[in-house]
Amino acid sequence: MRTFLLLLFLPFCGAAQVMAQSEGLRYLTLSDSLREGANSVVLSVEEEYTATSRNTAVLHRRRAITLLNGKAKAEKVLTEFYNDDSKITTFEMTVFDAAGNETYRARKKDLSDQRYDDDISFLQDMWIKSVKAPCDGYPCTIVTEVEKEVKDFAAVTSFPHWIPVGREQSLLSGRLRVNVPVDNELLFEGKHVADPTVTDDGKVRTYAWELTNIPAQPEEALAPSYSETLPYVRTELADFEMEGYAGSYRSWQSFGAFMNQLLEGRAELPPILTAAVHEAVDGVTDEAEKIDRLYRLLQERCRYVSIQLGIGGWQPFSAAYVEENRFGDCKALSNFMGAMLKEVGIASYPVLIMWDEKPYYSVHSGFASSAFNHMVLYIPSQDMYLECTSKYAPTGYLGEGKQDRNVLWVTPEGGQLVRTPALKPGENGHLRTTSLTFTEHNNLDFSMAATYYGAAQETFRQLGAYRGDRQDQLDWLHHNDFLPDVTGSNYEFAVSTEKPEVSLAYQTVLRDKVASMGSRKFVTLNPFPISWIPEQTTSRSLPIDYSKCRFYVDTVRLTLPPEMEIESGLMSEPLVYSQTVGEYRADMHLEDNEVVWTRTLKLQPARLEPEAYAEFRQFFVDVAKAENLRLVLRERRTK
Amino acid sequence: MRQLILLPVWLVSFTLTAQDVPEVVFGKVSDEDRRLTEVPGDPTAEAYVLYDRQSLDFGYSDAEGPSLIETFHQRIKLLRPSSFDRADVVLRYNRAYEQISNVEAYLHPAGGGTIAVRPEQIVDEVEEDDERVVKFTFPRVSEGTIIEYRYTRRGKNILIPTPFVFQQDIPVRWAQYDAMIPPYYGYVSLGTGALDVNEVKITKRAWGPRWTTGAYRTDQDKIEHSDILWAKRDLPAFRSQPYSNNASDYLPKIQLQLQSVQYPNRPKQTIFGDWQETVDELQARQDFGRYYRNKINYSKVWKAFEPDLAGLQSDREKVVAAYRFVTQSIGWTGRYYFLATDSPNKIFDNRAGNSADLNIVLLSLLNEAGIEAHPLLVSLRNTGAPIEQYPLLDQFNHLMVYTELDGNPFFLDAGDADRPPGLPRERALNHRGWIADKDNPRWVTIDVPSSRQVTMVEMNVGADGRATGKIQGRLENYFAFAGRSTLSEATTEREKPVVRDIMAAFPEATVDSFTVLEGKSDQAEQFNYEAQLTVPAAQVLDDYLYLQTVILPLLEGDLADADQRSFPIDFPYPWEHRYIASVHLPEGYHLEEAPAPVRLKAEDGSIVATFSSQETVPGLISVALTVQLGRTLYAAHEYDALRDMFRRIIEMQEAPLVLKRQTK
Repeated sequence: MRTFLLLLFLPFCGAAQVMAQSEGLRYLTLSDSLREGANSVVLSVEEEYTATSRNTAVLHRRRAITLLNGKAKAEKVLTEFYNDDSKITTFEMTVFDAAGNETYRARKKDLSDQRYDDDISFLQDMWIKSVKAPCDGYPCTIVTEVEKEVKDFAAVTSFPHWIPVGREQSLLSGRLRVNVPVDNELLFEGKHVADPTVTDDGKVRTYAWELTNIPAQPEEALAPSYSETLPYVRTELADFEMEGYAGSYRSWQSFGAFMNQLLEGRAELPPILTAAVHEAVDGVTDEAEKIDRLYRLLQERCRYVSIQLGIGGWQPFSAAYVEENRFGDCKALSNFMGAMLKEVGIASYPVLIMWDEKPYYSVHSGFASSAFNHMVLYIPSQDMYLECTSKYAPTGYLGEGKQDRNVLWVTPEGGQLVRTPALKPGENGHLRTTSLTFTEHNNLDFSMAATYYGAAQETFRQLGAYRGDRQDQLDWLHHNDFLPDVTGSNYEFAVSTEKPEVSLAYQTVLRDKVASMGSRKFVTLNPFPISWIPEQTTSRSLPIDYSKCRFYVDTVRLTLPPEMEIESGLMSEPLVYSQTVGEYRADMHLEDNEVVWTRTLKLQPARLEPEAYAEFRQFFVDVAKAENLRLVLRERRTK
Repeated sequence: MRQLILLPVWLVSFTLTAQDVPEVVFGKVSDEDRRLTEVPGDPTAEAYVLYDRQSLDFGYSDAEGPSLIETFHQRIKLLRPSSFDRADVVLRYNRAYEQISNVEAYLHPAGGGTIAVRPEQIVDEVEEDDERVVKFTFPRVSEGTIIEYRYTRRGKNILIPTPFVFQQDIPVRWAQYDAMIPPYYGYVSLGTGALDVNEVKITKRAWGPRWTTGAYRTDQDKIEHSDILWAKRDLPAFRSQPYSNNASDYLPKIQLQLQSVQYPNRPKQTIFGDWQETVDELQARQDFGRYYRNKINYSKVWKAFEPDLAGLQSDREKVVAAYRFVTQSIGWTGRYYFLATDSPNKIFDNRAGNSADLNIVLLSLLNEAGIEAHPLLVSLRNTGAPIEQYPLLDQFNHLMVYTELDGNPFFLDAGDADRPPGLPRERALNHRGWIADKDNPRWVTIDVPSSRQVTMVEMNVGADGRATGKIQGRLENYFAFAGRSTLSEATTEREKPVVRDIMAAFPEATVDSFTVLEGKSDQAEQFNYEAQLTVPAAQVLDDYLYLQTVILPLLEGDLADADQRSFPIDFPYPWEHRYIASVHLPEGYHLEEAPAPVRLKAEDGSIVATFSSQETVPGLISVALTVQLGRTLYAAHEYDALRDMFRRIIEMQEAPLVLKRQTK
């Protein structure tokens, strides 16, 4: 009997061996178009997600990828997250060398199993299982397989957001299948991918997407996000359940209504807090003043501590919990602030938002999905957002990385998708005046006064809050090129509590800005040149997504030594450059023996076509050149 | 800097009177401390350690023998919101050999009262395998709050108790280390700095194993313990400085290591008593000596390597072959240690290991090939200067290989195939290392050859200020390694070695080509290249053209990051830059002025810089700039001179030629 079983198995083992070997060599069949510009090729990816109910599912993913060189380092690592709501049942990796020989098969002892640390959360119940492929040489083929059972929070949040191929990577074939019980529905949207085929066996409806022969897209600076330019499918289960809460993604309104359920009963104020709220605002009639006082009360009373456990990833701690502990995460603190406002009759909405310089996925009205990582508060009567995690932001200051994007107001009537205001260059930048005066030994007395405002003041405000020590501040400012050294005097650093403004003043002696040669002196006029230049490319294939929004005004006054005059470098007319993303203007004139240089630079967000790249880059080349101007002085020849 | 205190603790060596040791009761704070709003003498400090105590005691069980019992007690005044993260407490431990218990935490608001952190708010969770973490965060934290906590750490290993650092990044009012050491154990202590309280006395108490004194009875008499109290008061916040190495050495601290054990009526056993005993002990260990001395542990990897030796005659060839084999077939996990995690055979199977794993594989191959080689233990840069006076094992965190070629030391440090043999990792260049040679353990100075960069530029300058030209260059040793690493990461021409540095200085430059010169670059110690570039090297202003001839900056920063130095400046390795340019002037321009030749030499000759430019034939200028740094360690008092030297070198590299348009 034993012999029979063994014989029965042998052909299968042999077949598996052949299949594995052929997978290891499959890269040999790749066409040139799939090799061009690719560091790795996805030979095949098969992902299947099976929803077994409204709060349970099974995920299966098998992927074979060939690394063509050592640059696709991230592809060597297989990782999978899990928590109390999910269980990894399969986790396998096999590696083949260029000859198609199996060189590695992951064993249990090779697997790393670590608690996930996002560097933000103090407590979090997320784990990460991983293994790294040892590739001795290239091409190296890695085959991975993962299966995971999920429920509740893990099931709802892990519906596929499928992006089967990255940049500098090509794809031979890919398939996504999502199986959903017929009494439910799969909501989806796709980009750069054909519509799915949908089949139905009476119990389960299956949605299947197929992709073949996708050539590599280059990795380019200032490119739009992956989800915009690469094949992308985003899915959600229409009706879901999470720890007893029923929800729906059928509309933004319904998703907001679900969030309302999670928030329900969490705004009750304990008596001591009620008293504190009234002590702060009673007698004040102006609503803006009330808000300001309560926001200050929040900042004084609470601090940000992130605790994300299970449904706590979406459900805030109650106001009573925050009051007791005086800490909370963005949801808990927004809920707490909203509860205080409610106590004095001011309505507010929690707001779900993606806080990121460039959101990975652009939230839009046509598809409801939770693409958010943060919560703030909105007060409709004042048209004001409050960032409740900050202990030092001025009232009503939302902060960079949150503007000009769709966010979800969680109103009593449900969700409402709204766009946050865009930044305006004039409100974000600096106004700086620098005086330079020649002294002995080619030194320059340096004196600077600057005001930074809006988005440009945020790091300074953090500096003020987090580094009280003068020397620490000087070190940081010098290290980040806001000051020329750390050895100066008359340092002043003032953070406005009312407005998003920080002012800075400093004096020192510069020893490295003047080079002397024979009868000449060479002076670097602008101590703070803006020299960033986009990377140089011979061809550009992706649009340019420029997001900076600033207005910089600098004035430099250079007092010449009486015995010297300008040989060259004095501008006779203003220097002006202009492009969609910016406007530059520099002017220079001589007042007695003082050179006055004034420059304004406006930078504004824009989306440009790839063809505009050369012109876009040239603008910054011109700016950098103009910023790094040098004056040449010689001994005075005329009296 | 560091001083060694030997504690033959059964003999009281000295006794000083304790001065006003504060009586601190856990959970009770004074009204004065509650009212405190700033640190005396440091009004901007974000927080203030009011009390920091670490106590060492010993447990004993008949089943497991002695154990360490360390208690920790911290009391911190939080003065500014920026300090509130200090209220998030994270205590890591490994449950395989230690545990943390009796965690208690109290918060004392400025206005009065005391709040306990509830036991359920103190979380003890797994991070990975046996690595665990105790976490809690204090509720109701606000400016002026005092947080206070204590806990006990029990460890099975009494060899090295937890070091205690008196000074912190915030001011400390009182820091105390006390210990009650049974007479059976002799510890050596490495102390730094003077103590405000230094008291060692004898205290009797019952402790330890029961000794059979008759046929039917055992005794546990009160025995004389060394009762130690070391403390410092009013310590300012510690501030590190750039270009330093081992800054933590300047923190006053206590670091104990067991030196000997002598139970009553038993012979004295020394433990790591001297370097010879230490090497004997290490060589006897499976994860050290036995892995590379017993062939059973490396037979498989040897079998794979042996064919590479075919035809090789010299020791140098064999050493290089073994190094290449290890670096090319086994990856480094990124972890450092001085003990191996597995046998060379297993490490070879896994194709990955920590720094000791890789180098122990290398040792096994060298020894089997008949090359005498030994483990070389080092303390990595910034993890403490080497301590040679006493065999403190805890100082080591990396193992490499020492051998000799042609009678000269040769250091091998496997980890990266691009790094040439003879060059340890940069982090391992901490001046000295200990050779764990069974017959002759000894310290050695880790000297590495100077790293050189030679750049030859041929440039044609246009009337528009743009210079087109060819660069030919050679990088050697660490510069070659950096060049290869940069090349392997580069995705565009602009990111390639040397070119990247030129781009940083001239962002608007363009690269026409970059070629690695094969044949000349087959030795890892060298990296030869050729590049074609267009660089806007000159500023055109009116009738003048101001031309920067040094387009590859040899020095970037001018060391101007500190007002005054407290610590030495410590560069990892010596280096030399040579830059030679032939500059063809644009037609219609003549040289009006050129920088005068300069030769700078530091008093001790450790830095030499020369610059010259001359018009060899009309329209062709030759420029040469050379900078050599021969010494790597400069004392704090040498900072001003060094900074001045750097400034003057930067001036040299930025000095322009003045060209003027010829009038007809």
